[in-house]
Amino acid sequence: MAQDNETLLSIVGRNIDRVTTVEMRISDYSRGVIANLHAAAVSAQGGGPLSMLGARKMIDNIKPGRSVILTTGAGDPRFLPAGETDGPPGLVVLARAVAALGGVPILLTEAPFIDNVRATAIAIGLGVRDADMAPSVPWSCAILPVSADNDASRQAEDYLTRFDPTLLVSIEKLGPNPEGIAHTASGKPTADGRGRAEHLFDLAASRGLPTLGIGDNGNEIGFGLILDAVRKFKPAGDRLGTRVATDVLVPANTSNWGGYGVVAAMAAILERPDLLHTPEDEERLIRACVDANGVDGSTGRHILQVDGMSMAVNCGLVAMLNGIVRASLVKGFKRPF
Amino acid sequence: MPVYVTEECHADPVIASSQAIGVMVKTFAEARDRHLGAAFATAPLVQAEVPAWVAKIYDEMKPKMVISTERLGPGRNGVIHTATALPLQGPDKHCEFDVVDISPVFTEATKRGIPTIGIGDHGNELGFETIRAAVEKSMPKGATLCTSVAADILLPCMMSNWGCYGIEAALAYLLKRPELIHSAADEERNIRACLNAGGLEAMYCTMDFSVDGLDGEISMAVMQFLSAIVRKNLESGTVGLTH
Repeated sequence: MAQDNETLLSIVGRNIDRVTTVEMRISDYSRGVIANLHAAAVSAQGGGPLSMLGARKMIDNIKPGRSVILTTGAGDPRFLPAGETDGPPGLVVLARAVAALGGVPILLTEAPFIDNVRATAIAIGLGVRDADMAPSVPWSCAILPVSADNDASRQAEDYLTRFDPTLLVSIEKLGPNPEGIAHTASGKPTADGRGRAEHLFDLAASRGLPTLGIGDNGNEIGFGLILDAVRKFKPAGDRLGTRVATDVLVPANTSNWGGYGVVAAMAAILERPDLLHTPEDEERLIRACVDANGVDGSTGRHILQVDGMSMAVNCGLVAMLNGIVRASLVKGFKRPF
Repeated sequence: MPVYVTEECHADPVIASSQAIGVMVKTFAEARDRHLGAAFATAPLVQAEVPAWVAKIYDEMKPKMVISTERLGPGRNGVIHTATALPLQGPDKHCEFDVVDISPVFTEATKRGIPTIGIGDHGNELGFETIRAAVEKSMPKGATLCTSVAADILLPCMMSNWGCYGIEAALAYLLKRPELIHSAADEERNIRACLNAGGLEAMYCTMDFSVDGLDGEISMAVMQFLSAIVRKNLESGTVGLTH
């Protein structure tokens, strides 16, 4: 009973979705939420699996020699001076997949978080170059600031003109609610230092540029696609739910995991397991992030955790994704008994 | 007090795994009276001897619960089948001798009102009669291979080991004893001990560090997941300053 490839990829994508939405959170305002947000996102996007939708968005829109804008940045810089451990690892794993397909990753984050993103990019084997040089250097990227001020709108116009991206990706990047106020995952208004990446996605929407959003709480860019569900299922969702939608939305237990899931699905579609990083890479990523002053967002501590989860758990997730991808590449296997 | 019930040929890997996880295997009397770990009840290899053997187990050991994991049960035609529906008994059997059917040790519990749990990953394992319709619908040749033996509680899972670990984790959560969950390092010892004692990885039929064709590291990762789910949910909820 040979399965056709579409059926196989649908099974693989569903399992990637399942493993990246296994919830292990320590906050009352996060427990029991992500399965509901994921189900709402599946329903809003024609049945999913969402990792596959994200992967196809990436594959269809990464063009050799052309830029892809990827952005991250969450947390209050007073408590997280260099950002957190959720966001940068997922961002650079996605960026490396962009580079692997010949695209030029342009990474955008708050100016104080740039060192963290740079260290994490290098840890995954992605060089960091000036934006003018990056297109000429394979396996490299550029990292630029997102303005937190009133010039953010103008800056977004400039970036889109300068880089002419074929795709915009947001992972763990906070977006404002319909009243224009962005909130933390617990529903507190964010500090003034928040990079206003929403202008990029507003412009992308008005110009018909493809967009992908990944998040884990409902306050991140992309969740505008299911704002009603965020308000219904997420504590303080009526405040923190962002208005900013993306073409494809991938909710996950931790935003990094959503990014890894998208890349795992790309690896399965393209039969390129090398696109996905290894558990050893994951350890390097988290260490690099923390060594660059990144903070575990759940506890606020400078420890090797992501959203309250140990490094071992994160490496375990990557091991499972690799297992799912590698198993999908075995075709026509027949057991002798 | 756990009593492992299987044939002699499975004894070495079962005992090796048990010891690797920290449960020694002693005689029934030692295990019961001195709390020295687990005991082993060796199943007969001749089908005709099974009824008396089952009666003896119930008389002497007086089980309070019977759990089956990855133990094949007979289909509706009375024959045990592999996951690909090859018969393991009778004239067309796909092996050199009839595999003994020890399901009476399971069904006897049901007759006596003793609770049963069945864990499996294909539908041919003890317990899957409970969801026969789903096995017939989902599994190739499901109508043939599905066992006719039901369980009070059936836990289907990706691989049978993982179902056991899931119950272990749920138990740890309910009892608020996260230390009940074995660690990823324990899992590595567990799998390697099983392999070193002659257990096979049963997809490619190798002695590689893997289970059902999946790298052992993935089973270790499952333990990281289960442990984190339990531990994170036993922690009191926090509202971080930062988030």
